[in-house]
Amino acid sequence: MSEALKLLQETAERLLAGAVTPALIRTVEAGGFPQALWHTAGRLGFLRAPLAEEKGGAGAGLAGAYPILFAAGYHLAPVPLAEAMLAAFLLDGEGRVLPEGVVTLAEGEGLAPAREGQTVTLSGTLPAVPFARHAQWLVAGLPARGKLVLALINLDRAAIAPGASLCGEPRDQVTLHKAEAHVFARTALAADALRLYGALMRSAQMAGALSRALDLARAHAETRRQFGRALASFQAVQHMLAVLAEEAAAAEMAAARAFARAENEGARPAVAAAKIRTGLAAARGAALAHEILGAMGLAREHPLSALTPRLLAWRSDFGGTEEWARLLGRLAAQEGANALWPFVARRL
Amino acid sequence: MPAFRFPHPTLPPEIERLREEVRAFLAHEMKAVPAAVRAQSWMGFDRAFTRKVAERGWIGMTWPRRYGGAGRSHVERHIVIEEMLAEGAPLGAHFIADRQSGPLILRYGSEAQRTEYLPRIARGELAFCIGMSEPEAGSDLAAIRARAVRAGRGFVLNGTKLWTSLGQEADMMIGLFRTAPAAGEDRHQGFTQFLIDLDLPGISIRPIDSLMGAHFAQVHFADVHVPEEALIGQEGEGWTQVMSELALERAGPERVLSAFPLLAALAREIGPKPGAREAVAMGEALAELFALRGLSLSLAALLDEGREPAAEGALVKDLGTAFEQRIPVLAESLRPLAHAAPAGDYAALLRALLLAAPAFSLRGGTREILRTVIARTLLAR
Repeated sequence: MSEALKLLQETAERLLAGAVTPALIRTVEAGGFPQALWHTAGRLGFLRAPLAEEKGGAGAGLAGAYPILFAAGYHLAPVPLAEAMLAAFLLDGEGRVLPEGVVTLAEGEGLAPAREGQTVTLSGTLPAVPFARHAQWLVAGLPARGKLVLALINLDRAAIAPGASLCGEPRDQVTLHKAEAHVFARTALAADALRLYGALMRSAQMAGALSRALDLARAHAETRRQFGRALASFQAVQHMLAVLAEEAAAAEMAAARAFARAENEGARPAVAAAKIRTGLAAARGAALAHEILGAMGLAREHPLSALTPRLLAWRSDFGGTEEWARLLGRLAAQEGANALWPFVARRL
Repeated sequence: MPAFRFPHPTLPPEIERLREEVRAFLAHEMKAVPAAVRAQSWMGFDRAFTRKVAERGWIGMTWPRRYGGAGRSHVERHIVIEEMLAEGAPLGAHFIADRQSGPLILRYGSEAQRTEYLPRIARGELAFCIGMSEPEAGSDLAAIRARAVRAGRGFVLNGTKLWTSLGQEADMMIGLFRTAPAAGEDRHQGFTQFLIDLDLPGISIRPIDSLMGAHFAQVHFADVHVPEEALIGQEGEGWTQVMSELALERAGPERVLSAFPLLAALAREIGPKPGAREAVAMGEALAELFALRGLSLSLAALLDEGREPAAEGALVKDLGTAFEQRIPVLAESLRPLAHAAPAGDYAALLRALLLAAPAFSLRGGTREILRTVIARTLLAR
């Protein structure tokens, strides 16, 4: 990892470890927004991380987002960091700068563009936009003739109907009526690029959350005593911890490998594999962590009760496990039915 | 604070040239190898094949040149091995020697042992097997009863080794023997390893017919005299050496790719237009493989750093062997054996791997032992 990336990782760790408390998470679930945290994240350059060094980024492309998102997943940060970073990356690709304030991101298939003289307006409804009620800007991706069209919309006049994800974070319905597109650009990216990169972002978040689940489970097993000894002294518990460690390691490796090559030609199999593998680990890991933590892990005050719903929510975002597995299986069959190993060696 | 570190090595572009060399070699040499042999993966024993691999400099790749090695990295070795495993190449006549016996001699052996054995292994002339398990000692290796007693300058060996992979075909064994009683509470004291010529009088080898074929053997020692020069390292150092060997035994891509030829054959059966269920199942399997390949390469990177990745190896082995075991189950569910052309490659691979699968999570350390090793490391850090 480069020095710039290492520094970003350490900074993200420090900020999020201090700022994200169970109380903060509950505030967000109740409709609040951690403005101070968002402001600091912006000031420290997190949102610019995927950009070139001369633009204040880590100079590693999308790979620059990985350490921050891992930390965000680990600390259950209830802010649209992934959305804003991806938005910054996509806008930068079109020579545009991420606007100030809270920026969110969504797939824009429900939006219809219309020309009004020199401007393009967008109308339609998007069902579940993360943190929309707190956001000033939305970056949406519309498929058009095989390519991704990128749109930047101000949300001041949007109609917002609040909703929530499985983990209680805001997922709001956004209705636009002839909203001006401040950016409307046909990119060179594939039509599903936003979905692909969104899935990649979530892989990092899941990997981070699994690492946290392992740490929580380990700490609990070491301190909780039953039958006169620590839970960690029981073989059954040791084996569950071992499997949880395996899943966390596999998830982290899959996410990191995918980020390392995300912008290469033909990265789709690797990104799909990362989303699938982290999703599989999320389900297995959540179950194991709860089994080890017993009833205590279910309580609202315990971080695990905020962690596992996030794992399950993120697993479904930007395409669930089954959808990406179907895609990867089809890609492998197309390219590698008679040569599976060369496909694996080259693309996975 | 993460308990395990798996570095992500970026492969230098030159490594693709090595990969292409191995592929060209295999395209030529694997033509005559039938599916039933490919199904045995690295347990397939073929001295002629091994000599050809040696001629290319692909045995003992990571050893110093003065011992017949090529001074290359573990990552480069990983590339060669994974290409061979993907094809089910018969590596048995050199695999164990290359993976752990040679490295053991390199690390703990005398200069005389290194100059005597390493070049011969690298030339593909010497096949090794491992003498650890016994009838009364499998997972509990410290319970072995085979003993070595000093006789003049040498030792006399008595006892029985069991489940010795490729014991019948091998030339040499590195065997673990008791040279002193256990010292009170410490069951790991009093062990010594010996380099044993399996042609010595007093050694009798009997193959064990098993679900994996006839690859295991029982090796019985009845008053076998070995010279002083057969002792590896120090007397009483046996346990440390064995732990070192086990780290290597658990750290390779053969713990992930043993069943890959079947997965490739399944893909061929399914063809270029899979149904939804087939695509999902293959996609999930490939996603698991994606993570496992990264982890396996990571172990090679750790070896290149000079580390002994014992716990990391156990973690990857447990994940990897579970994946290997799922492949025949997956194949049977998508393309059942009963419907496959009985004389075809796919049927041969599936039949062999359905039967061999239970062994994957037993050999080289059972799943249960590995999970205990992983947990111990997790809880200690």
